[in-house]
Amino acid sequence: MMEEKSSIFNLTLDAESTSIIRTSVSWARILSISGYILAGVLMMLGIVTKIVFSSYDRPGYGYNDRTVSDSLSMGGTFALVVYIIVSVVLAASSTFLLRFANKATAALKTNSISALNGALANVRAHLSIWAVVMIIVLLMMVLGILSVIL
Amino acid sequence: MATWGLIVAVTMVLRYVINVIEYFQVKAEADRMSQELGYDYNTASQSTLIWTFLGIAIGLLVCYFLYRFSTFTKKGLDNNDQADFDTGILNLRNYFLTVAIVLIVLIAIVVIVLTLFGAGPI
Repeated sequence: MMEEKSSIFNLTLDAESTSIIRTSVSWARILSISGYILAGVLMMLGIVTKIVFSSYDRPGYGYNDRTVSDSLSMGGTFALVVYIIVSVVLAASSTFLLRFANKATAALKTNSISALNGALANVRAHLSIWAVVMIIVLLMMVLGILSVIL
Repeated sequence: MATWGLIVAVTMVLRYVINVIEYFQVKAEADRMSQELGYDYNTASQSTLIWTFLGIAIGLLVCYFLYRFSTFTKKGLDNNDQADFDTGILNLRNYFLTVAIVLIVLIAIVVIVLTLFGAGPI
């Protein structure tokens, strides 16, 4: 059973903290499941986009101009790659969130400080993934603006 | 953990600032072109404006929760302050809650769009 108060770092886990962590765990689990679903949907969307764009390459249906059909096919491949990258990032961050949820639940049940530390390490991993993604997106935006200005 | 949260919050805010600048640049260019071509694009422009700023507002809310989570959790751990630590974790919960709701709405929109218009061109 959970003790009324237990130590984490130099702080204590009282009833209020436990309740907040419990609701955080529920929402983290919902977020990770929605992340997995969205990753799957995006992967499917990428495959559909690739199929649609490649279908213009069929003889008798596609464009007579090879340049146009080649460009469409290449655009489809590019879209597929982008969708796959976004899906993988989403799935990876969702995995860390699910691990946080599982470890935090176990920590609250067993009153294990190491499990709670491990759980919070997964939140750090989740946040670090999004920090790196945001930095890359920001750099690409700045490069895009610079290429227009220069 | 708190540092990564802060990095995400700051980079997101910077991204939204660039988004707003880009929006007004594109709008100015579209205004100029519509005057030259005599094309009225007001309805489309207003719709884009609403969606752009709705996205930014939700994004800023997420940034706010992440920023508060970072600062309060760090403060709580540094000063051994239970109230600050609890506030930090509460903001982490709010971050999870907001992003989860946004993701669920996004999934619903994608599924509706795919159901209504998907597989048509294949």
